[in-house]
Amino acid sequence: MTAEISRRGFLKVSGFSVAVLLTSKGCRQAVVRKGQLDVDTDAYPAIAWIRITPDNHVTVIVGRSELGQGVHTSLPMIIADELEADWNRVKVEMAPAGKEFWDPVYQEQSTISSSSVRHMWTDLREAGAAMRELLVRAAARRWQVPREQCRAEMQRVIHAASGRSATYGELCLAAAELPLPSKSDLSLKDPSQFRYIGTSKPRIDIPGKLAGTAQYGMDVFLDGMLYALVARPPAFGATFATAIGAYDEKAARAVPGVRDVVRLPGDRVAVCAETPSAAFAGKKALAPRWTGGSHPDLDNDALDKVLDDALQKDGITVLDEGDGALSPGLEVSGRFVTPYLHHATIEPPTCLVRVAADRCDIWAPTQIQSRNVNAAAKITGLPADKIHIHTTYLGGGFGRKSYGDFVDEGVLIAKKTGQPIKLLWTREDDIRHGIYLSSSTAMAKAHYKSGVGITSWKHKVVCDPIKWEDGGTDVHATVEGVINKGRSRTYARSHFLYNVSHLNVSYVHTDRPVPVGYLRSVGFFHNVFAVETTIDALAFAARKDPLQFRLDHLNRKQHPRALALLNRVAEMSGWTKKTPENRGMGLAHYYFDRFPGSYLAQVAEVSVDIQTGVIRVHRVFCAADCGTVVHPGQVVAQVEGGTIMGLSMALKERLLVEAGGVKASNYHDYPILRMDEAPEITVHVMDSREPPGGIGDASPPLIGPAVANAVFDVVRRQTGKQVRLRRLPLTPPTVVQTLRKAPGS
Amino acid sequence: MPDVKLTINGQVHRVNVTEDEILLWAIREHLRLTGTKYGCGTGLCGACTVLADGKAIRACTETVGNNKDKQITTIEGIAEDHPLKRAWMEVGMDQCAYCQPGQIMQAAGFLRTVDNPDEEEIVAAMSAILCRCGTYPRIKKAVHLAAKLLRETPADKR
Repeated sequence: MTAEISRRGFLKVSGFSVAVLLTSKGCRQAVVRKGQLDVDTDAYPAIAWIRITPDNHVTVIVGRSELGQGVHTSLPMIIADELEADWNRVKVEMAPAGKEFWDPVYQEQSTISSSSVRHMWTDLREAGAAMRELLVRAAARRWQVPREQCRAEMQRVIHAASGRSATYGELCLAAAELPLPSKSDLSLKDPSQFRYIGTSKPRIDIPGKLAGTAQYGMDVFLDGMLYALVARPPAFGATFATAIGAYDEKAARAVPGVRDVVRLPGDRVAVCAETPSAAFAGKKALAPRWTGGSHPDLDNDALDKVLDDALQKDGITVLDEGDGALSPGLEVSGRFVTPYLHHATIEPPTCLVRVAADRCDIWAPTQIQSRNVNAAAKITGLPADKIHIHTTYLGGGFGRKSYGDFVDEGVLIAKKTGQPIKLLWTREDDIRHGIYLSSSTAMAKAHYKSGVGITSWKHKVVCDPIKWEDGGTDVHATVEGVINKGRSRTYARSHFLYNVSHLNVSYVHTDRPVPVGYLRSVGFFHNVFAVETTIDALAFAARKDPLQFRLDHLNRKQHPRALALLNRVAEMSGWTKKTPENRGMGLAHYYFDRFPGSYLAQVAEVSVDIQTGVIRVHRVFCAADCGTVVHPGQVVAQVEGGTIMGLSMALKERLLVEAGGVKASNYHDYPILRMDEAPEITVHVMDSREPPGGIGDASPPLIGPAVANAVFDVVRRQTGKQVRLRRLPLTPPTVVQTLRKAPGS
Repeated sequence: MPDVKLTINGQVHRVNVTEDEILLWAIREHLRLTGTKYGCGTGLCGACTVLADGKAIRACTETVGNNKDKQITTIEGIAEDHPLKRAWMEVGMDQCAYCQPGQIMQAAGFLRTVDNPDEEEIVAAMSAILCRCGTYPRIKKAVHLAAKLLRETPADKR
């Protein structure tokens, strides 16, 4: 267990706010009358999870950002179910920033790591059940009947014996006067009683988004606001070339519509103007000049060389378990390389900020409100409770918007200019000033002996670590997917999917100038690629079918769910049937360990143009077991979408670095997958009553290894050559080169 | 005072911009029709797609001047019960949906040129618009469905 978890739910009824604070030590109550509060009365009523009003509406206030993953539908469904609310009378609001909306594990308000349902599941159910109990008690008291004789159903409390009933709207004021139920008095539903959980309710945010009225980051306006564009150093560590004049402020100010030019820390300069076009013209007129930076010769080759050198070093061992003395048997080994990757959300970072003497308002597509509040308080000098975050919809996040850099920039400019600022990031700004998934290399060496099994597996990973602001580093992100950390925060061999006599995992951390951080699926992306192509190579060496080999060596005791999933995906894809000669099939599966964990399995059906090296992915079959499913349609959407994003990363994406900075600038030189390359995808979601696991972060890593394994299959059958692709992205030149060097069979 | 007339969704707007103003900024920042999105500024992603006299164009690479005599249609001009939006709702674009206005406008332009497209034609037309969340298989389905719904819709209601 981590720190004691506080669970909070709130019921607000007109004029009254009842705060339900459920902790592991019991339940206590705080009834607060509006007007007696020594807090901002505008903000206070909103710090609630549930609001029931006399017009018989239930409003669920969601502390999580809607990035497209559907939390503004799925989280309210959990509350509404336990509350016995009528879904047609449920409204949803995005919460402000507040401690009430902290993630109970991460102790911050954030929407990261597919944590929304897996961390909030129990809290949301308890909050809904507490409200239901309160309303039932209010009705029993009103009718002077025993509480046991009353029940809640579809937003009414019913006393069957007397035929009386009352709506939640009719009961809410009375309910607000009652003491709260203790936690032991809450009765959570049996899953068989779920009304909404497990159904695919239409997403509540989609109609507004298709109408064009939903607000994303750039869609908010304030009177007197200025548009800001920022010129940032193009190379890592570059500073203003002060000797020859850093930038031409006078020329920028001479552009009609330009109102201000402000220098920012980090050798950045912002131009603020009345219109976007004036800001663009002003930025151009600035003609800023920087030095060549700290690493003027840095490019992709130089960055790869650092990985190569590091791979020769002894790694830090994170796990070394089992008996390495067995005679090893046949050997398979491979060296893996993956590139720097970028989130490339279609909505670039952006925000709107107003800093006044007594408050700061921020409208932003953010995944990390807590951090935004702290940083804005520091920049403005205002106390944290005067920082008001208005989270807009996000046009994609994938981890990019869990970094506060762009919001901080907006706050800084608004503070310096004293004007409301709409900060625009161009696509070029986004791609050149990202926080990227680290490029990596790995060496995997495995042995197999007939009649014994996989006798050893040695795996070394090299990449830059993700550094935290508090000075810590995320080592888990480096090795996750090879082994897993589980809840105990110790590395556990039992989480490796296969039975291996001797397992040794180590890493070497490099420290290169390209800023690295979290991107959807993080370390799973490169590690699952290495593990699942190596197991395939081992199966081939052992002359076994890749599915059968996985089934034979699966740690079934620890991972019975993986067994069911492999069988399921084999059945879906017709694995055992004969595939046409010009098509190959590749399999991959893994365990997404983030507590309480999810399992995924995937089969890709591909063809390869032997002459050009172009890989065509025709069909993909996916099976997912992410425990209890709140919204099956959303799980399907996430697996589909993650597969396409994963395929984009595996086939096409590679951040170009040149002359000490990011050279890539837009979708022409950081290409992402388009419809003409997208496969047909079939998803099966397993029925399960295990606790809900994550799915959005979990879905991208399998398609890379599944495709690489399928390429091996089809090329061998077509040409007899053994093409084991271990370098991402799987571009046509890479395929052709590997083919040229490949051994025949 | 610069002053350009733009006809958007059948309504004439006077915009305080010069003729060389980028159409996207005029639409979304000056007129505040924010359904038309910024994505790349260079016509590569298609998030800003609108119709000009029925043809899908990228508003981020067009000037106001070139479009002042044209009928511009934005996502706000596509009614909720229009076959395109019905198809999009029916299929369920359950992702971030930032690109979807552009996807719908591209499909609107495309379906004016062909009323019963095959898969290949749909893919060729729709590959111009990026979706990072990966709704491509759904968009493909939705365009098929929208084409069918459009064929069933009287010409004057399309």
